[in-house]
Amino acid sequence: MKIFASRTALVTALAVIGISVEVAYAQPRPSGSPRQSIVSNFERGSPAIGDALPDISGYDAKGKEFHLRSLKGNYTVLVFGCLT
Amino acid sequence: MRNVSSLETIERDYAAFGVQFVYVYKALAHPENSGYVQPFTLDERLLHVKEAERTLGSQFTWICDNMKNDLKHNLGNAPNSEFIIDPDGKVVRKRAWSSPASVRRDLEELIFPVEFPTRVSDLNMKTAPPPKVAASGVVKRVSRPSGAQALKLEPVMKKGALPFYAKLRAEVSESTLRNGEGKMYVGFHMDPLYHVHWNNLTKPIEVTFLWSVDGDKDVTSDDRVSPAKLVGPKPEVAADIDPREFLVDLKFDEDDRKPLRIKVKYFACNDEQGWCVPLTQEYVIHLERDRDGGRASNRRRR
Repeated sequence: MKIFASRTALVTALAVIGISVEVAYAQPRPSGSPRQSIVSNFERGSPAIGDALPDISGYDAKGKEFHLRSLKGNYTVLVFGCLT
Repeated sequence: MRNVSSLETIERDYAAFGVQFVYVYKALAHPENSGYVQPFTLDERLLHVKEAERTLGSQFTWICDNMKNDLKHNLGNAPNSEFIIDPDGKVVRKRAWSSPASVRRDLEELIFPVEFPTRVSDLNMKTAPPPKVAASGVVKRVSRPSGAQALKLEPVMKKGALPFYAKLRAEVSESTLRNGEGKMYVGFHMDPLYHVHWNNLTKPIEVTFLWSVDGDKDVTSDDRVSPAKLVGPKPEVAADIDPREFLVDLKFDEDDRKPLRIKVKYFACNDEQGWCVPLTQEYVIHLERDRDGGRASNRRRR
């Protein structure tokens, strides 16, 4: 009887775990994850395809002012990055 | 910056077609990784650019964002985005996350497929490790409050003064900012680009949160912070580069977000140049999130 009871408990526990795992995997990934939020902010806040680059400036590696709109005449691949 | 070498292979293949690759150096996404910390001045950000060239061994053209982060803000605010600009200066491709394989496909479509693409192993890029001038791992790190975010801060720059060799980073959780009560992380990190270390043979770092300052003498502690006076550890080794970190209690009136003012005294030494100097420096900490502060999630040691 004891063996039967513990076997029933084990089966029930495994079923609960199984259902929990299934439910957990069935949940969609939270829409507000940091990566998703970066992507949606980027889509909203960057120039659209076909638009000119904004008229803003930074600096070249020697500290001389550099205008983004000077990137003309050839194809340019512009990549953002940093040390970390 | 893990994809630099793959992008460099594409640059080699398309240079003959006039394609230029330009890297935009922006605020750090993950400060404290390899010990690097956010720069306070444009000159320091330009030092970061030199450091990126040195450590990555890249031949790219670099441009540097200004200290208001205008390039980042106006081009989508993402840490590692990419754009392809056509000869008329118009955006023809864009991605929130750089993907070298996609860039190659784009250029194949826009220009011409390259028959024998360059491989990373063909590049022989001369990479270099980050600088390390003294011991690390000798001072116990402090855990930040859960979900901590960087606070906006302003170093009080004085004309002709020495740089902020040790740089402050202050963080609180969103709930502390909202409710006006909680823990605040305060960390001073030696900037590796100055090749400096702490001097443990003299007084340890001293930090004071100030309420009012009258000249150099009459100073009252800020009772919104407890403790308002902090003294750092004194490790047994003569020199190290570990951050000096503290966790303090912060309590402020939600309707009165007067910035915090903090004074720090410490010694910095540069063995290559043979100097050791005492410094007294001040910061204003605003009780608002710094959206360009990055997330110090990994905190890899040097």
